[in-house]
Amino acid sequence: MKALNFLTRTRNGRSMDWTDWLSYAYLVIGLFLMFGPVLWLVMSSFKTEAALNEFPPAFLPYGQKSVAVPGEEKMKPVYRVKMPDGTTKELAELRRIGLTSTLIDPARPDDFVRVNVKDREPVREFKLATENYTDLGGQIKFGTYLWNSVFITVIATILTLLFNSMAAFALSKYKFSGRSAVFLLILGTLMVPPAIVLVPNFLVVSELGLLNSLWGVIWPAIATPTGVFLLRQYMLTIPDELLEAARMDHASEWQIYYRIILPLAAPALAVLAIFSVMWRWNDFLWPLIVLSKNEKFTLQLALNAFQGDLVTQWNYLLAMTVITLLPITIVFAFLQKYITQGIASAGVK
Amino acid sequence: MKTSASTPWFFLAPNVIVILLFTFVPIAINLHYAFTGGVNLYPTQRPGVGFENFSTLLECGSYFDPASCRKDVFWQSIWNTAKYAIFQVTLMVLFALITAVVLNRKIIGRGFWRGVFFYPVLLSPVVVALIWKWILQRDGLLNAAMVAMDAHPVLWLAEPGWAFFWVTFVSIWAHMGFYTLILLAGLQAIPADLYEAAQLDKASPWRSLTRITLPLLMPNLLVVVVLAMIKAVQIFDEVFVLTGGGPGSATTFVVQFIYQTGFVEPVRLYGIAAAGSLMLALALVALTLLQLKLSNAEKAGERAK
Amino acid sequence: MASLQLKNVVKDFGSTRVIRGVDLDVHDGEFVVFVGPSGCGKSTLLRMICGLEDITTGELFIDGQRANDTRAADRGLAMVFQSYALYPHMTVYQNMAFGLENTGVAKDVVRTKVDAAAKLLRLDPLLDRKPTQLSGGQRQRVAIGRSIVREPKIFLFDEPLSNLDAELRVSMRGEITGLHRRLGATMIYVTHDQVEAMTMADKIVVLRAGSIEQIGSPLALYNSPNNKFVAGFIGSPQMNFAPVSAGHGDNIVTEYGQSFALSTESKPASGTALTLGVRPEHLTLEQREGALAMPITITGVEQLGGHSLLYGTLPGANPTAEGPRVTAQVAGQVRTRIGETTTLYAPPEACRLFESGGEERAVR
Repeated sequence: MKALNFLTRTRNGRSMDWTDWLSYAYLVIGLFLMFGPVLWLVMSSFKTEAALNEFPPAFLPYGQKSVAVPGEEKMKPVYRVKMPDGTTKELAELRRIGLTSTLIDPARPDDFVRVNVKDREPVREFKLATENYTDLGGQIKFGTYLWNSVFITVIATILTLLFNSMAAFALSKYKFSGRSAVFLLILGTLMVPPAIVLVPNFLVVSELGLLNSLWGVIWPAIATPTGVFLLRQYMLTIPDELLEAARMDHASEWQIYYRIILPLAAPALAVLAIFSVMWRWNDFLWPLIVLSKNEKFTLQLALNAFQGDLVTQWNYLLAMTVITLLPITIVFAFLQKYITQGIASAGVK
Repeated sequence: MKTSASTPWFFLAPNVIVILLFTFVPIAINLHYAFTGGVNLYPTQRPGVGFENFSTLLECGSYFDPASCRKDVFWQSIWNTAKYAIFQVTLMVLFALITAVVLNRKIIGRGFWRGVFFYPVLLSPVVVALIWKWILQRDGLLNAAMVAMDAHPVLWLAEPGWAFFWVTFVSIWAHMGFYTLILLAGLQAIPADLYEAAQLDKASPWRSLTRITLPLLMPNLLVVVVLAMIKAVQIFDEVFVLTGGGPGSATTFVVQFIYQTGFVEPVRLYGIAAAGSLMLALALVALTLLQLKLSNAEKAGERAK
Repeated sequence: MASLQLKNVVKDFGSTRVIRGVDLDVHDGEFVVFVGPSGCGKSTLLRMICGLEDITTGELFIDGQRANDTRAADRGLAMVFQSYALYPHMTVYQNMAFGLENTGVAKDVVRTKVDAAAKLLRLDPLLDRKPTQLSGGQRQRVAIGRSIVREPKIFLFDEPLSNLDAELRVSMRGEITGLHRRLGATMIYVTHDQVEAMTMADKIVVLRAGSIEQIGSPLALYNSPNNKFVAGFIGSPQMNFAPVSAGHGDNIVTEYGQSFALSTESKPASGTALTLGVRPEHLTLEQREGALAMPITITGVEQLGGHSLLYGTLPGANPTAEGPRVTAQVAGQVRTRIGETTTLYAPPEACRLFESGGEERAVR
């Protein structure tokens, strides 16, 4: 009873009423629905191709047990065999010809047993099919896709931070004619998502010779209106007296931007950096149009191409999906607070 | 302070040039495309056709029956998008609201729970689609559950009705956390003493919800609805990977129509694609202006508080 | 070390004229204080001298050189901002060194100069701290230190003490004037606090609505204000004013009909409306020969031990009208109670007279 009291105590010390029970029930169902599918994906990615084809599927990844047999180079699969005398034994299969399987007991390598394949069934054990991951490097050009994704994400984020912060600096710290016009121009692009200008942008990018180039994905993506807006709002809170003091200190305008404004806008830059990494890592439609050569694919494109194949190699596809969601998951695990705060305050995604 | 008049423009130049090149030049070209025909990508080599692209798209026996339209897929995609936007936004905002209200209670481990609901937001659309495709495939987890319950397995993504359902479900799953977060921020801005006062007034939890929380949250709720609408009419990525728009055109949405007309079909009708995207842009501009109006109203409301 | 001249300097913000033709000479080594109520243009004037605001018309000379078009950084001035404007992401040392580094001064020279300034201001143990780790007074000293290392021709201070608490303000006042004595530098200091102006300045410039009302030493302003505004602005508690009119000869007649002799040079015509001004500390409770008797009804008494403040009202022009308010600062402790009537005496040598309209110029 005491334990129950403790467990049902709420944060403010009173015991739980029905609304609390309802809340926690909702949260647990939510946990199951939100994380369950991801967990299932991760589990599945460690299954062998054979296990993936099983129906109904098992939750944990199982593989066939195998043992070393003296005199044999390869590990041999283990079966549970119904012996002619009616008993069952676990034996290693040496070879199978037609419907006859030849098995031995690894402990007594001289006794062969020959049974019909119907009388044996595989012995399974918990086993992570890590080859799904280790094979990715050779089987498919996973390294290339990963590099393309990382290159686009890193370069685009750096350029976004640079270009957006420069524009935000000009818009927040200088008075000049045309300032509101430029600000509206930049904000106006919020209304023009890539989907709207798909065809003409394809023309522009191809005229610039950027088709099938990672730069063709990077350039159109970096002048984000969200970033300019976010940084400008933050920079408005930096007192103008600091800039005046810096000017008195013989700082050039570039030095003011680089040595005063940038370090002081670091919190806003961090939020934008997280956004930008998320945007570029997850980009799909625009890369799909610009990058049509396999060796230029990003991870997202490669995943899409794979799942569209006539025969989907789910074991590799699942492993690749897990690797694609891994960086975002790790970043999220460590920066959850900042990400959620940043998004809540900026109201953008 | 005397600074050279060109200084701000030096700082603006990179951003503005990129915007001009990849947003405003394309908008101009798009307008040109929309009023020219043929299959040539180069604007100068396209013959003008006036409003023909628009009339092709709009030629319809009855707008409520896509099959009677000349571009039946276009109208199918419009109806799909409309249906999707209404269902997805309504259900998603409803669940986001419930989740936000629950998360705003005095619960143990709020940060963790918030993270649980928010996590899918960060996943890429392709990953989201693959996660669910793996569950919904013929020999997938869901059918295993069906079998376990003595029901017949269903081809979830091959039956039009179910495919549409799952597309809606998956996008709610993926995006709900974002709207939950915004609503949660709105809830946390409601002063706690209002609830304490309500408690002293012997208000039931249900009455505090309907008489205090919801009215005060209404401005945020409106903004969230419009924001979700803006995203909903642009739906493409996860659906494209999950169903490819099928079966048939049961889950083909407007952006996919533009993509297919402009980039996939053997005869690429850029004019039609451009005309379609202009119509989409019109809807987006309307929604964005509505959002700006609402968020200005929201800010004004906050000042008044 | 430098001098500074302003010649008919004007500043317009759009169509609003905020500085209306200011002429001023600041001599080498002087401590000049700009004082005036908020919105009088004193900070704008300082920022124009500094180069942070353009001069619309008129001329600025630093050491005899026209400096209107010289960049702020190149005028050889240093500014201590109201908010101190310390770079929050830099240490105290980096804050003080930033300006020197920007001009390409050798590293060891920077070190020497910063160390010297830090020692002068007792900042040497704090050089590695960030501004947020400092107290208000310490931040203030860093801001001053940043100016000192630049070895400016003129130091400019924009209300530097307004963010400090009262006690610290008094001690910082002493530090800044002490610094002025040691460095012998020219300093221009802006404040809205007339006590700061009185205690620190060699020369006070009183500003109102973008124009100079009077320039002079603190005591000159106190003893012979040019007009009613300066008389009221300088001195605390504020000077008492009462409407009077000129009578026959040297006589002045109060609203309540008292007449007494007060000589003026300009001899205004009989019946001219004037304003009588007398400082609270010059009023006494003892009757004196030739002094003006002021019967007042006491509305408040503040006993401060060493001296007392009496608040009251004079009789009005008719029995129903309320007369002007009067404050008196008398030595020692008093027995007067609220509601009582008592008589205060204003000695003629302490009485000032102002025109009662127009520019309210002093006539005595």
